[in-house]
Amino acid sequence: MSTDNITHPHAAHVSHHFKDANQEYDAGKQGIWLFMVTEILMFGAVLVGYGIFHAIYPEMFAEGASHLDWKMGFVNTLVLIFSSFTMAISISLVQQNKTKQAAIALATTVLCGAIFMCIKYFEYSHKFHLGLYPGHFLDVAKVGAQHANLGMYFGFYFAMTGLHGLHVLIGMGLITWLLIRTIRGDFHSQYWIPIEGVGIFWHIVDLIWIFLFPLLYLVG
Amino acid sequence: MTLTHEESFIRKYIFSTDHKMIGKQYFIAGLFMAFVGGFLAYVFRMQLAYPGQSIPLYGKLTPIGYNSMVTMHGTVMIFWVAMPLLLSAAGNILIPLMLGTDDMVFPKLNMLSFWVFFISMVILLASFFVPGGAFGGGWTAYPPLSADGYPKTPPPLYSGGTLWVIAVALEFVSMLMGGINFIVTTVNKRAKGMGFMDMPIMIWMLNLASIIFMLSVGPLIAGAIMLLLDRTIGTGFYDPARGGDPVLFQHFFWFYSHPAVYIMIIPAMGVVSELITTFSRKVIFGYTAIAYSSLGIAAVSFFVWGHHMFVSGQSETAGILFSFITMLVGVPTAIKMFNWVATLYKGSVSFDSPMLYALGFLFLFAIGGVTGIMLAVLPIDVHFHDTYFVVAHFHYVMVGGTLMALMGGFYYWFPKMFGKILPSIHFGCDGHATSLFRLHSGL
Repeated sequence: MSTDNITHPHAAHVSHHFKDANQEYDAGKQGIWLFMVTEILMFGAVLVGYGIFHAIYPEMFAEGASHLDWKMGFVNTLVLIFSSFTMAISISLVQQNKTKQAAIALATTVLCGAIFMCIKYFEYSHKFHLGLYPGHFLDVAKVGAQHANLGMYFGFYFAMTGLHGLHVLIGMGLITWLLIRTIRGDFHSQYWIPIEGVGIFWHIVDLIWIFLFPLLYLVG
Repeated sequence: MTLTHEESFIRKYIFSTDHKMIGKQYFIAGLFMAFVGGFLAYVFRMQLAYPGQSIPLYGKLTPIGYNSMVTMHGTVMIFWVAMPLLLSAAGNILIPLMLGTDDMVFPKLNMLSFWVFFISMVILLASFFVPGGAFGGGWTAYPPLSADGYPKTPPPLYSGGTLWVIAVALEFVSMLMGGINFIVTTVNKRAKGMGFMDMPIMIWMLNLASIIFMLSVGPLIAGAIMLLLDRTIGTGFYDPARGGDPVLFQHFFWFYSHPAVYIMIIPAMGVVSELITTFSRKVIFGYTAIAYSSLGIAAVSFFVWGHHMFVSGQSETAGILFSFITMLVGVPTAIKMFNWVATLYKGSVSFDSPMLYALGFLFLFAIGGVTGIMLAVLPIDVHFHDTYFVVAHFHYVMVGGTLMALMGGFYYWFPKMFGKILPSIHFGCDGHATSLFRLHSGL
């Protein structure tokens, strides 16, 4: 609470500990990108693990991939790419003070996330129905698997898509929060940092799916 | 908005967004954990001194209990003492003050960071009381022992080892939020006219430590999640019996945990730089050299993790490369040592408590550094691997280096933190030095 605030009154949307709106904007954007760096490194490490075991057991991974339905994965890919588009235009709409259209774009983004999770739910329940569980829960005899360690492939499948799905859920929560604030009228042509921050998060989460889809569904 | 307004007790002392209060919270939590970690060391050292006898304040130590004590001592001291005290506590208190700004850029994130840390601390302490006791697979948690659900008595879902993995992962998340705050604050909120090369050395060091942390922790979070899945649902990523590879975890672990050593020592070097300049009444010798050599340590730190795995079956070529790069760390470290000594030269040196610790740091850290070079030499390390020599080297750097700087910094900044001057108490350098030297000789 420096005396700065008294001498330089802020616009209502700038938190009191920032000098001005520019500083707040820069700080917010740098913060979210730093967080994204750690996210990318985390998913990168799982991909490294995937790559190593794919190289050791190519046939086992091919057998695992044959159990996945690439059509469902493809639909999900389209849904997420579309949601990235609606997320991006919501920022541009807010910048033009078109609050109502921005709210519709954000709502569409949440809806796309929900569609993605629904399809994921059907995929998961189908796998469970067939007994394709991760790890030692996968009954090799019942499934008729040709490789004894098929559970590892489904370990990767559930770990990678589960971790990604968790990010989608968190993203949906954050975008819902943005939606409420947009309807309340918090965002306008002078202030849209939270939308941009969550947007960057959402795009990275989509980008991770763009890597997961070919690796899990198409390769092998 | 009024300039001052009374904050409620909870907003002021518990869920505070004030960087100084959060720094103090970290400080007190870290200090508490230091006593926990110290007690654990006391228990297993007593067991070594008087095998099989009842230990005062603890009782009889079982073999599994011994493993738990050693594991938890390492875990607590590194993740819940050295890192929160040197990075989180020091960073929170000093960064805004030294930059001349009123608070961190993300005060609420800062508060969240401490409370996630607190939860991780509670989970870790709770793991002592679950059936089967705390995790005993070593602080490095090497699979297959850790992936196998060791110890097997309670179901792996809530065994000590699983709680250990969760607590460590949460602690990383907490430090991550702190790290984002430190870096973004330094980039955006320096006082008017303060360039990067005008910042106090301590700010350089805290930020480099944060950068190292941010760029290395991601893989270990992934590695920890995979370990958790191995323990709970047997995915077998690290279990050779299921076709997995235990060395993969070692890569994930050391890719973070070797840089983690620099995360702890680099802020300590910052503290020593501040202490030596103050108490020899001189400007630091070679500011630029210190800043850039620290940047060098940070860069090199990402390419040395393989020196922990000389006997884990990595290729000889990789071993030689890692050995060579590890020895390179000696160069920027030595640059700093010479700069500190040069700062003392012809200074008006006064031997106050903080200065005694800084000088102790110079001696003990030099020993830790030299034994580090010995361990970096591939053919020698093969014989030293898993001996007390490694333990002693590590403790020279961590106790002789990090802890000494921490104590010095504590005396030095105590008035800034609490508004009172701390009366000089005893200086414990000789105690550390002799007990650590005995570790080198294998006692």
